Order: sequence, then C-alpha cells, then structure tokens
Amino acid sequence: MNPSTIDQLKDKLKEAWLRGKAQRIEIGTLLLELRAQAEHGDWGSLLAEVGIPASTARDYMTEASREIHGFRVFENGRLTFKDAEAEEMQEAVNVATAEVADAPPELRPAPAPGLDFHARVKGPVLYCTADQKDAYEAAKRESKDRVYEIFHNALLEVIGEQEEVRDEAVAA
Amino acid sequence: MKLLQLNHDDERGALSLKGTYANASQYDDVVKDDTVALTPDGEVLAVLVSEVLSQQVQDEAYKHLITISGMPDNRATAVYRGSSLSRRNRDGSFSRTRSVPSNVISLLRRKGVRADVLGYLDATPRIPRCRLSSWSLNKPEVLRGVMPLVQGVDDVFRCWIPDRYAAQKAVVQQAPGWHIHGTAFTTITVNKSFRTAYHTDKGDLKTGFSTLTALGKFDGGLLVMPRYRVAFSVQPGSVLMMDAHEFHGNTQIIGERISCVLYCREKIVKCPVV
Repeated sequence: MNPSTIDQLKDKLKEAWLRGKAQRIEIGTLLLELRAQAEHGDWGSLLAEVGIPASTARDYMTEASREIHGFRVFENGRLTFKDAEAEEMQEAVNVATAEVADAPPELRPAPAPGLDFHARVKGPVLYCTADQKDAYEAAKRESKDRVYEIFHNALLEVIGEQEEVRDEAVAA
Repeated sequence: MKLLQLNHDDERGALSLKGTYANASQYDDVVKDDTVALTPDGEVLAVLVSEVLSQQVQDEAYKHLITISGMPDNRATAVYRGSSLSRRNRDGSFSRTRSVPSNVISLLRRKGVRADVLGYLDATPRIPRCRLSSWSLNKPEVLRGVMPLVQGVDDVFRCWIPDRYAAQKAVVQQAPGWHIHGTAFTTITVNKSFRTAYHTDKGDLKTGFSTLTALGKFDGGLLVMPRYRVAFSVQPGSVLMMDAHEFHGNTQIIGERISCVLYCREKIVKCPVV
C-alpha cells in the first residue's frame, strides 16, 4: 500500500479514536455503575443483554476509571498517579509563571511601598505608609482635648449623682 | 444513618497537598449514603444526608444556576498551585495585584468551568463596604429561584446538626438585612464543573458548618479530605455538611456538576444595620 495512504488512514483513525473518547468514557462510566449494582454472578448475562463484548466492556471501564480517578504509574521508582488534567493545569501555570518571570524589568510589577504599619481604624485593617501613620498620630494628638472633653462629660453624666452625694457628705 | 469513625490524621501531609488536585491515592473510604464522619478526636467532621432534596426543588434551582457566567479568577488556591500571579495591565505591564492568569482562566473556560457568588458579602480592604454580590444584583431572579433549595438545605442543617445551626443562626440574626431571609446562611458560592484543588474555605463562621449540595448529571467529583483519607460522593439531591476549614478538593468531574456551598460569613455581623 502507498505510504501516503497509510499515513492518511492513520490520521483519520487517530482523529476518529479521539473523537470517540467522550463516548467511550460515558459508556465505561455507565458500565461501572451497572457493575456496582449487579448481583454477584449476573455481570456476564447483563453484558450479553446489552450486547457489549466482555473485553470491550473491560477496556471502556478501565478508560473511564482512569479518567475519573487518574491512574498509577511507576516514575523514578515511585508509584504515582497520572492525572492528565493536573498536568494540563500545571503546564498552563508554568507558561504564565514564565511570562511574568521573563518580562523585561520595565513591565514587571512596581515594588510595593514599605507598608510597615497597620492600624485598625473602623472595619477592615488599613495598611499605611510611615508618613500616613505619622499624620494619623498627629491628628489624634491634636484632637486630644476634644476626646478628653467627650469622655469627661460622659463620666459626669454617669457619676454626677454620686459627686453630689459626696459633696453633701463633705459639707455635712 | 451510619457512623464512620476515622482513624487517620495527617495534618501536615494534607497541608503539603495544598493547591493540587485530589486523586484516588489520597482516600481510603468513599462515603456515599447517610453517614456521620467523626475525626479521631471524636469531633463531627461531616454529615452526609443523601437524596433529601426533592427533584422539583433541584430542577428549579438548576434552571437558574445554569446561567452562571463568572470565573474563579480570585480563587488561586482552589484553581491550582502557583496560579496566583501578577495581573497583566492593558498596556502589557504587570500589576502588583495578583490573580489567576488569563491563559489558565481560558483553559478553565474551555472546560466549562464557572464560579460565582450569590447573597451577601462583607467588607474587605479592597471593597470596604458590605454588599449584595454582583450576580445577585444583576440577576435577582436567580437568588429568588434558588430560595426553595436554600430553604431545603437550611431544614436539613437544622435537623441534623442543631448545635452548629443554632450558633450560626444566632450570628446571622445579628446581621438583619445581611442574610438570606429565614435561613442561617449569608452567602452561596456556586461552582459549575469546577474541579477545585485542595484548599480551605476562608471567611466563613468557625462555629458554624458549610453545607454543600450538587446539581446536574455527572460522574466523579468526589470531595476528598486528605487529612483523614476520606472522600464524599455528593450526588444531586444530597446535602453534605462539613468543616470547610479542613483541606478539601475534588477528583475529576465527568459531565456537568453544579455545586452550591451555603455558609455564613463571619464578619457579616460587622455590617451596618440596614
């Protein structure tokens, strides 16, 4: 046979095989479920009823199981799980990491300002620069008298009666 | 209801798996039906109640939740290890702000992954105000449509873990106007076909429990807790109540799986009274 014809047929087969993957996995998953539900000894007859050869069923179930749970392989003398989705994701992350790492200096993120202090003002923690922190402290110092007045008035309101009593006692 | 006493406890091992996908080598038990799973210390780790939500409730919720369009671009740990990278600005430079890179988001989008939030969110340094999530604001009919599901899950939570429910309910009652009315939940995280890498949930009430239910037609998608080497198979109509502060992630999902995580945000009590 002409080598180019063989190559064409190989490509077509490869494409058809890949296209059918989702279907094989679906059938394999259903078979796995059916086998889980089947009574002991009924599996062969159930397969005959649905008209799937036992070896085909086994292959489809293996493919579905690998797709769902990953599969074990020996790598560097260790038993590990092959997970195609994890590999795909790792590759995408590696590409993105390399993009950031290889970016020219002018495109890289500007260094973060020195956020040495944080103050819980109201609600979430606010991070601020040293200058902002100083400004905040100064504002607090400036309004010290006002804060004292508010607290003093509140205190008088609470203990006012006691002061009067004490005053009366002193007077007596 | 079965009782599953877990004997394995490897906190450090679970931590080392952070940001990676779960696989079959990381669990021994698969919980499929009504079970209370206890940690070696005797604490309740999770409660699975199977086939408890009616088909009608599921169908109604599915109809609305299938419109989800958000992407998990701010959930780097759940996406994959190392996927929190500097965000690219329009001019091609990189920002100090980190997010999941666009090529990873595109890959997830091609796989049909979507993720978004319904309900209320508390203030954060970036958005310093309490608010209704944008999905809830833009499509209020979605939140209305999932209410029967939310109430169903709330009933299951109240019946099966009354102490945790009471603690959570007490907190949401301190935030009138900032919780999903009549329930112990403030927020619903919805994921479509999103195989999450090992992560812990953040921002939810420590004394409460996260509740999870799934919709759609799918296989796989087991929720694995590697610290205790246990996996939960949450089928449509089932409710899993669990301690989401333990590392958890999913095995591969075949098909379309919409998971709803209902919980109470811890800082919601700080939101101003409406």
